[in-house]
Amino acid sequence: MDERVRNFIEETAQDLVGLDVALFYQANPRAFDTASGIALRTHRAVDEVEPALSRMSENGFLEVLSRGDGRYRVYALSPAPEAWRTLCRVSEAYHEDPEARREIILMLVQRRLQERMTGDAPGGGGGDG
Amino acid sequence: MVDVVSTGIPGLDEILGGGLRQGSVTLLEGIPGTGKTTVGLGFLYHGATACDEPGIAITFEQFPEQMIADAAQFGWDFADLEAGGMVRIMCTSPDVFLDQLSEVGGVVDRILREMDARRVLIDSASHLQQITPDPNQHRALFYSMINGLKRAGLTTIVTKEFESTEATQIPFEEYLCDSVVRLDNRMVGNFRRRRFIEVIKSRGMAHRSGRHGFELSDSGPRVYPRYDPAPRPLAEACPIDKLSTGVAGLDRMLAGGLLAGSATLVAGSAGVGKTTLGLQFICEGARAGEPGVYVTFEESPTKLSCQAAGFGLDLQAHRDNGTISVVHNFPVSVHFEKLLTQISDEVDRIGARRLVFDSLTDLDMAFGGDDGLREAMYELVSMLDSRGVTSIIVTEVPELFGQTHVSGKHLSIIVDGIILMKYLELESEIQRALSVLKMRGSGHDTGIWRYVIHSRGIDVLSRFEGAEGLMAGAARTTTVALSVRSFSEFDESLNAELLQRFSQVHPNVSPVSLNLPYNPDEALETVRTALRAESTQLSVAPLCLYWTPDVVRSRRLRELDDLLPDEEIDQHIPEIVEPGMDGGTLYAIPAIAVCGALLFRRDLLDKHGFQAPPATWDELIEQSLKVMRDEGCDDLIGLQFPGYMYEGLSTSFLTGLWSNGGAVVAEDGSCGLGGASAQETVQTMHDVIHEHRITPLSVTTYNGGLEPQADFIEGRTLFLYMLPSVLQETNRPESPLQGKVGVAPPPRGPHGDRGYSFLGGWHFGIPVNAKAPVAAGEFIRFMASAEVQKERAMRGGPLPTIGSLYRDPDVLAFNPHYPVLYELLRSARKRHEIPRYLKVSRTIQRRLHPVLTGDAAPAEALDALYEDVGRLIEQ
Repeated sequence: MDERVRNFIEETAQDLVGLDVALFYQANPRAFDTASGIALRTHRAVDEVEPALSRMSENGFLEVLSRGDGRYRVYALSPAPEAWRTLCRVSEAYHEDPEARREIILMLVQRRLQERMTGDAPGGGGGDG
Repeated sequence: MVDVVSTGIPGLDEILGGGLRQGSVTLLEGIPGTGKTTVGLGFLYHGATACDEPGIAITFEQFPEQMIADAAQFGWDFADLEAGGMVRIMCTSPDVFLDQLSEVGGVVDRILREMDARRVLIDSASHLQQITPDPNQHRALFYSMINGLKRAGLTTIVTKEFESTEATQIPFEEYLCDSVVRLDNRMVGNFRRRRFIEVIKSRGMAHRSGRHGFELSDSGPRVYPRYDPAPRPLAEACPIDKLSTGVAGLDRMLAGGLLAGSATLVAGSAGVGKTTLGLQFICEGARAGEPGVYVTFEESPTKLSCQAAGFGLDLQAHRDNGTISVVHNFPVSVHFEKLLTQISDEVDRIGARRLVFDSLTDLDMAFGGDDGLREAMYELVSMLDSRGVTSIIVTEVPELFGQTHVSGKHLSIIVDGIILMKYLELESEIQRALSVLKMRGSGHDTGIWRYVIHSRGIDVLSRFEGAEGLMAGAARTTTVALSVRSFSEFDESLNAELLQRFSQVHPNVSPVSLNLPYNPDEALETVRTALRAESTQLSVAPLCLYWTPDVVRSRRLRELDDLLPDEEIDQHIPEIVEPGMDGGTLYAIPAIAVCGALLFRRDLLDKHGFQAPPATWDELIEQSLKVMRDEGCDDLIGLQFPGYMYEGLSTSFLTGLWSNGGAVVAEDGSCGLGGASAQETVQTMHDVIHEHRITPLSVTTYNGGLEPQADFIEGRTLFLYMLPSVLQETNRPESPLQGKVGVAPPPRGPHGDRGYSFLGGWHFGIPVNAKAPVAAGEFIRFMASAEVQKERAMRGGPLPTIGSLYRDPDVLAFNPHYPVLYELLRSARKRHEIPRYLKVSRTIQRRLHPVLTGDAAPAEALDALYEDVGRLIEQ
């Protein structure tokens, strides 16, 4: 698996919701919406989507427009070419390379198990961190 | 001048009045699945690819990737357009969109500016309700949104979902948007849906109101605007050309065919031959170089070609060479507006002059029983009318028998003509009947005609007659007027008996005998009047031989070639058949023969020493004078002949002329009345009255010639030159003259080689407009038959026209003179061969009658006759 993909999974996606959000923006690069809107489109809980959006923003994959005195934030794909290229690599690996797909899922599952064991996983009994 | 933006959807700009106003907002509403998003995407695609107008789509629900995939089905490569910066498909939440639209430098604002977007699709406005449940706030949000779009100069389509096709309230969006277009996908019948589009409003544009056809095809959405009938130019000429239907009998019923540019409804039960008629019509056009379109639903083009081949029609060849185009659609999938476009395109493509629409019944399925059929037919007929196409529109009627409802949807007033084809139950047999119910702007036969379908297609045979109420399925007998020539009271009773016998054999017909004037000149006028009538009760016209050719040439008689088989016609004396023919076609059939003969009292000649009847005029005068003198009886008349001013006078003169070696027309074509033959004839006719006094002056005043016959029968006349009809009286056993009367040829004059009679007789013809031509044909065949002629001859009726009867022992037993009369007939001269005979005859009567009355000198009268007849012949 491409190193860039591996890094994105480990550092940005981190979990299956993060992967879904990333794949959503790769498929719909012109989407711009709030966490609630993205949660609706990805059929995930808002409180799961928000951390994913934050990580993608922090790592330069999304840009955030804050509106209404910070009342809500809108997430859109970053115009940086490198960010787009990385998302395309992730999508290719996930959709077109079965081996890489298995590896990505394994990475995310192991990470989740590890977090549960250390009590970091959401809902795993470790609080909200 | 309004700047207009093309939608790129075929047909949509047309119903919008040219397109969308630049910078306007259009509401595109409809229930789910009507194609709103597809139309919006098509609008963006056209702008990006054909108008260099970038555009964005805002979707609140559907994912852009899905929209791109959907658009790819129509060949629209939005991924490529996105890559090229011409299109953006953006998904977001409604509140975010509104916020970003209004924020300077927001995502939407930024992209619009970056792309220099000109077109926007917002899919859909229904989601704005998510922002607030308050209707007033909802309206304010929408109002704000469209103002923002307008301010940016964007031409926008906003989709909106209808929850139901039966909207009870008008959505406020319709008031706020510049244009409103509604898409519909409604049930037609019980199982199918059909798409429609309607422009509800189009501010500042002259849009086409009403529902139009709409389709989502492989190449994208397409609108089929309803046909917009245009008023015909005022100066347009009335069509007078007629197009053959390909069925000769129907053409005759239509007085030549269908009027060019007309639309005719052909209605009939299943299997009655409607498609066959359509095929004959379209192939007849192709044969005449008139391209045609055949619109079919039931039959595939191949099957239609096979069906046509069964009737000897090479539809396939016409299709191959492009003269005929077959438009085929399955009835359940017909979209009328699309079909109409398809037909008009095809008509224009091949330059069609004819069209068959087969059938309206199938089209009715496309409307699922609603009232759209009538409007559709109006549009079809209008479209064809605007192109001058002559059409047959087929429709099926549900009733097999009895009363028929041609059009339950008042379709009949839309078409120019209606032809009804139906089954009849008659005489325990299923028969096919054809009738023309209506033909606007053209005369037509109103009869009900029997037809058959054989290997050459439809063949119209004859009119149904002898019954009324056929179309209602309740036949009852009818009365048919027939006329038979009678020469005497005996003839009248005999004819009445024959008519009665005929009606016994043909119970459907109740013949009524019409009396004709005895004078054939007056009879001619009666017959001519009947023939000129649009419709005549005179079903059988009696025709006197000397004017039969004139009537035949008038083309007011029906052709009778099919009435009698050749062997039956060949039984008749050929010289008598010939006047009833023209150009090898038989128009009149002979039933009675006539010739002049010299009847003489054999007993008186024997008594006074004359062994034989007179062979010359001199002998006739001599024998008359001697018998009159020797008998010593003042009231014995020597000679009587027709001398009144009617046709009989002409025959008297012509008999004398021919028997004295003369002729009306000389061998060189000039008038032949200038020589000694004519002079001696006129002089002798004068002298027998005024010089020898063997003929009474009363012959010039007898009206019709019956008085001389009475004189002869009562024994007061020695010689009678006339028709031999008195023989029917003198041959009777109870007659005092039985066996005392002889028959001889007319005596000859000093320049003649023998005596010649004139050929006469009576034919029967059927007027073109006769009420009951079939019954008339049967009656003629009956009256002209050998059986009836023999019976008439044996009972003393007029002379037969069948040669063998003159040798029949049964006939000869009553008519011993028949051999002589037969010879006279065969050698008789033909008046009707004299040019302009009717006028020549009247001139002879006018010039010679004064000679016989003693009011004019023979020489002077003949000079005048010579001049008059000469002029007539030259003309």
